[in-house]
Amino acid sequence: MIKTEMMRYAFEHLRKRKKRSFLTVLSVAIGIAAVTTLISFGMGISDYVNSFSEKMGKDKLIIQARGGAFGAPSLDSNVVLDEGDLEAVEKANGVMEATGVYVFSAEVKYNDQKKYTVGFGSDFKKHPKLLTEAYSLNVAEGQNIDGNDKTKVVLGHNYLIKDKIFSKPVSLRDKIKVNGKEFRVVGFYEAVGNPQDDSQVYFTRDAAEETFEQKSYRFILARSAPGRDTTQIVSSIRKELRDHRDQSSSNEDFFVQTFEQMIATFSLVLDAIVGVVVLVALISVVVAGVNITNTMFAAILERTKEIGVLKAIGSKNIDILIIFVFESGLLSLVGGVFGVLTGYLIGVAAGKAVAAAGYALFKPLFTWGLAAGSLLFAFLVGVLSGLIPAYRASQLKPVDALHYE
Amino acid sequence: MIKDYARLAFVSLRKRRLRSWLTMIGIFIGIASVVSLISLGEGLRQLVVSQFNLLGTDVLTITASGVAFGPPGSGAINPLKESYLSDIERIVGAKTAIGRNIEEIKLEFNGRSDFTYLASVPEEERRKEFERIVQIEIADGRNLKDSDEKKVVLGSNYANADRFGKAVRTGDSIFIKGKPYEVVGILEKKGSFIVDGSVLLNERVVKDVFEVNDSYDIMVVVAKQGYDLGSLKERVENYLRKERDVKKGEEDFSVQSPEQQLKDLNAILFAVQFFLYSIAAISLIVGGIGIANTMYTSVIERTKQIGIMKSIGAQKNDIFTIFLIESGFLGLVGGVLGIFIGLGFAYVAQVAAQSFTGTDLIKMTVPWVLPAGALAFSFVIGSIAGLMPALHAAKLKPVDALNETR
Repeated sequence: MIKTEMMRYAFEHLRKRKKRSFLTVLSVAIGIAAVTTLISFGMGISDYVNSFSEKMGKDKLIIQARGGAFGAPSLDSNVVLDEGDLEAVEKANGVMEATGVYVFSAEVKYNDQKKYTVGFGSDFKKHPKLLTEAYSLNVAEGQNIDGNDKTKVVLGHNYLIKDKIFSKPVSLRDKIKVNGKEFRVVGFYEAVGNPQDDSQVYFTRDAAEETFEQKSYRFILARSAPGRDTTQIVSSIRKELRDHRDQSSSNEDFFVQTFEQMIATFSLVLDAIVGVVVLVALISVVVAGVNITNTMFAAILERTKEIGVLKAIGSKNIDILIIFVFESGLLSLVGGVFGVLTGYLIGVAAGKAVAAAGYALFKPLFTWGLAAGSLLFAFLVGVLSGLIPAYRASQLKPVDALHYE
Repeated sequence: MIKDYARLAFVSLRKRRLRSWLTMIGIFIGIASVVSLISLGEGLRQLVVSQFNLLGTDVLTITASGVAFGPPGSGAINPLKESYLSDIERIVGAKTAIGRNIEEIKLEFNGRSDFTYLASVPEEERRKEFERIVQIEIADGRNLKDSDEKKVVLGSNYANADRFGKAVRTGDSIFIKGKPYEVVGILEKKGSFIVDGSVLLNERVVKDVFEVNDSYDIMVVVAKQGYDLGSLKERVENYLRKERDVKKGEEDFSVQSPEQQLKDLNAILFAVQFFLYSIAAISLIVGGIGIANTMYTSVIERTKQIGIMKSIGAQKNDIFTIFLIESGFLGLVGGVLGIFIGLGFAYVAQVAAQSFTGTDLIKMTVPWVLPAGALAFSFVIGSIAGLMPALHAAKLKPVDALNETR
């Protein structure tokens, strides 16, 4: 086993070769910092996605028309869902409530500036909870949308920020013009974390239907009855809709998904991307490992005589092996400590920068587990890299070693 | 003189063979990963760009602003008016203006359905110009002509059985909005999903069936030969601003040249590539640190040698050069190995991807600047890494160096 004396010996040598120890530590630190930062972002994003699935709840389903080459229909699609489809969904076994969501292009005019964004209209009067839960809409200022008054709107969070959408922030009770019609702003939602949702304008169902003459839904949202199996509900919705739309299961022109499924698909893609990026970053840790091996070879060469002395006064092969493996592990661990710290700082700074650009969903998440994992990883890389040189050192014959010049 | 320096450097590298190799491995891992990523990334970028089938160099594309989740023109708030066409054709430098409608449809055949886009084809004189700029060719059957009513031309994708479980042939009937249309032609395969998946109908028919009045989703302006596209663009923008009553800087439309479109597309792709390359490049920095480390060790080991060289008349410059050559050489050899291994790795990845996806779409691309740049870069990294140690060696005082005991 390793003795304190051995540890002291290793420390001593690292200190003696200050410049070279520093360089080796630096190379490990860079590699570990890169990996730590990237993993923290990966964890942050999956945390964001998971928090969504928690807030949205497991009881929600989304029904969309199929369309386009990319799966989802564009805003002017000819394959649509309408009132009749909504009724069919409501009839399906296990559906507690359902509402249609209108999504349309909106030209927003405020203070003589014009911007293009998305208008979102739905029945906030009858289904306030379903909508606010499904889209994580929490009121930041003012009030939620007033289902009775079609001249009032609630805006996404980005309208509160200067120069984000308009050069002047919009305030409560201001008037804005959407597609030429005037509306009064009664509230703002909290930031959702992506620029698209945060720049939407939310309308009542009446405004969407009457003022903007929307006739078809982009989605139908539904909530399943508590305790019911969602896969069963999905198939019963599909059956109702097929009957209503007069289709067979091979040519359905719509699809039904649970929010869980949607998020699971999204997470899978996300994890794959993060995985590739982290893998590329790991290359630098491999190179750092090679540097450690190199440093250890040099260290052993310089200390051949010392090894001879150690052996001559009774050190066993295993002692020599442990000394050098410990030394390289320590070297790498110190690099790991600096790497984790630097990675944390870079992560925080980069997180602030992307959040300022409107992508608050890219937020790094640092946990003690990540720090401990990175340190352990750094130590293991060091131990592995030091193994061959240390073994070589342990096999030196005392006589040869003492003769070495 | 330089030859002697080089020999000296080379001999000392050979002496410490194992450590020289390890140092070069550090560099070549980095270079190999960057080279393979870039050659695959370039191939992917070109693949993506080719998918968009950007038009020739003498055309401008006009779209109205809105929120586009889909094809051009979808979600436009103030669509492009039919009357613009003849107005634009009167603008100096404009030869023809073509309008197109794009509709999202459900296509039915053989009891199955496909969700896709349908695009209109202009008629009469404009048809010829359209066929020229889009460069579509018929593989089977014929092109649309003015008298066609319920006739459709399809992209080559529909000639595969995988769309509807059965290949569509000319003469077959295909259903759009529940009504049958006769397939009169199938297009030549182009390798772009836009062309290969296209569904083409005469403009009159599209306007009729989809109740489009007086508007287009996208317009294409063809320039007269010998006229500058840039100034034509300005004139078209001026016209549209006046017509749509918007101020400069507040346009609710965009006029783009293919060059601009290509630039925009490449800018997005480049951002993604750049991110990945920079992460891969971190390993090069780490490799460079490895070189610096090796060089410091080398200087320390040869302190006495340096002392001797200095005492028999070697100048600071000479010592500096010897060590710099040594480290530059480490970088360079690492770079050469890295380029070969990187290209080999990219090739293996390409073969794997091709056999996995069953297409030859993923191709590695090696622009000549890549190996040249990688080589230069690895040499520079080696030299920079060796700078401090070489300086350190050059500054040693002969007496101290000779006295040095290890």
